[in-house]
Amino acid sequence: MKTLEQLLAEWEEGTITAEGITELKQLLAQPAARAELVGEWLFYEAVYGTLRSMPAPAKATLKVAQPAAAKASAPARTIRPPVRRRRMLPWLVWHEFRLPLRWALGMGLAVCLAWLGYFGIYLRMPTGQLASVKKEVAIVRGGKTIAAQSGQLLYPRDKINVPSGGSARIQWLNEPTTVELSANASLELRSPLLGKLLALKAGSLKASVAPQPHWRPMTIKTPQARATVVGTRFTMDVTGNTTRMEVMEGAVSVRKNQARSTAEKQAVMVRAGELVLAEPGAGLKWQVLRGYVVREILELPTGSLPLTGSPGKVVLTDRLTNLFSEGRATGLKVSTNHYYEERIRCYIYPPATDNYIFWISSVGRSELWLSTDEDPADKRRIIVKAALPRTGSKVSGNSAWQLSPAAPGKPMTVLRSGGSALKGARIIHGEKSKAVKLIGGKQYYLEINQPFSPSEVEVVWWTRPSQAAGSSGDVLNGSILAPYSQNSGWAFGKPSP
Amino acid sequence: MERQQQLTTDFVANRHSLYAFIYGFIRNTHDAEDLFQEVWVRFSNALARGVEIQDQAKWCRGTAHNLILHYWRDRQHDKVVVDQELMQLVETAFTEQDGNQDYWRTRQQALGECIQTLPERSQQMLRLKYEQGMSAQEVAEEITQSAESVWMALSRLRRVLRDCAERKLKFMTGAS
Repeated sequence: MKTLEQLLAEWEEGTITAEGITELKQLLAQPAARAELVGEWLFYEAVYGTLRSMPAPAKATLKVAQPAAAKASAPARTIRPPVRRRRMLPWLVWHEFRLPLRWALGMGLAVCLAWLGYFGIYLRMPTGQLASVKKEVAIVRGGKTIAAQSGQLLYPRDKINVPSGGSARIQWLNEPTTVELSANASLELRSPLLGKLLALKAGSLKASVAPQPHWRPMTIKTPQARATVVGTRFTMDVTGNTTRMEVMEGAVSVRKNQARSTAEKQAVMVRAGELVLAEPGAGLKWQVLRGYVVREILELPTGSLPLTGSPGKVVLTDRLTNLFSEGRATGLKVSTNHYYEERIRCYIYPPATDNYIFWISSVGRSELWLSTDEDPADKRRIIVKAALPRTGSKVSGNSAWQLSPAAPGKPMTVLRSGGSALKGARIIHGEKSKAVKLIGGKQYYLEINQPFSPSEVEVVWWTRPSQAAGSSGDVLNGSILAPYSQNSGWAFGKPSP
Repeated sequence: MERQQQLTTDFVANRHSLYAFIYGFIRNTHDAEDLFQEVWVRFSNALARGVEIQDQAKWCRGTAHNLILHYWRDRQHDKVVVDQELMQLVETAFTEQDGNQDYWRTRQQALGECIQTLPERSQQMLRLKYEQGMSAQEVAEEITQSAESVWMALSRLRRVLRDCAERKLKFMTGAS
């Protein structure tokens, strides 16, 4: 327990602790201690009042007495005249903070300076190069216009202007990301601090983006929208007041620049097979990309047979403009250790409400699945087409197939072109489903599975009993088909196409 | 009018006590001076408006109390934030001594005389501490001595001055 004098001295010095204040309050409960406090505080006043009324020391410096032993050898020490220290405002503000906070702020400042220094260097490094240019493409750099050439390096803040009839392809350094600019396009490479930031002012671009780190994605800004890409293939087009984005592969997050409502402010995920339109005064408009379907070739695990439900790995995707699929698959390296399966997943939009009979024709076994709506979970198998019996004849990998003109009232068949070499499998009759009632304009999920082989053929067509007799049916073509996509990214509900 | 003159006279007479009250909480001579001046301005304005003031010392301490609270509220980052309960106790202490103003005035006078008799070096140390508002550490740096020796020297000076003042008070009261 400290004495009142000690506590008051600590109080006066400004070093008293919370415990000291508690002790002081306990002591001041006694009248004698309170009287002592008044005496002590009046002492300060007396010292201050007396000294203030006294004249200041005449000399600027005061001699301080030295110990006797030191006096002989050392000169007398001096005291500097008491001058109130002038301290600058930043110093005063800085010392307002406690020491741990000062440490934290100092460290933060050092990290920021190091970060800025790093990016100061980074911003002067090239980010990509012009892989190819057509016509007189111009680069605006630091206010100067330079004629672009193939192989020319591109730096942050460069602006690339493509003339009418021209094109340019940008290749990023150290990664396979490419952006192709069409005629009349104007693109600016912005600061790469938080990822690749591109500003498309006009024209269109086609991008193939290698997987990007999530914290540094590729972002493309247009006057109407902002798209964030983490790895995909897509096209983007700015025409007048409209930005149109089509995604062929992967997914792109799109957000409106000047959103008015909460729903409009949300970013939406546009997936493969979808397009989105951003226009002033309206929310993002979503549409299914019609006109094609995506065929996937899956490599099955070793020992797994096709059409047994084994999960496969997609090793190749390509587009078909209708459901007439020949086995050829460019770029696929087939391993003899695996079986392969071909899968087509798509949406179908019947032109009118009617009863439809589906037909499928293939060399090997094939299956046709149809959902009662757009949800794959509701699909059911409507046709199982058995494989043709083996004849021992060798089928060339370069076979070409065609639909035979059917006789009036007879269904179509599939022929191998000029096919004298294909014994027993030259004419392939289709397998049909029961009549299914479909509603015109409604979206239905459709899936076709069959083992993949380079000599395979597969055709899907439908007939409508209500139509005039003699119709042999129509191959399902792109005008009523759209590629399948998983639309879980639509936070506020998927818009109607 | 006479009442106003009386109150003003009382203010001047009790100024030591009021300044001590303010300085004790502020511990900065310049800011304490400012607050003291502000109390005076408010006091004289109140007199001009004809506000009924029964107890001048209590009224001024109450005003100073509020100003001190504002002062510390504006300096929340400072190490010591004034404690309301402590303030109340100190105010009580000063109120209890209001009846002994004559004694304290005489003591202040005696203290003043004692300070004037101190050697120049001791006066210089007191000047740095209580006029310049330096901490013991800063005084030590200023006169190139250790903080402990400054602390001890100041403590000894306080004791010397208190004894000196007591002796003078005894002499004065004995003489009277």
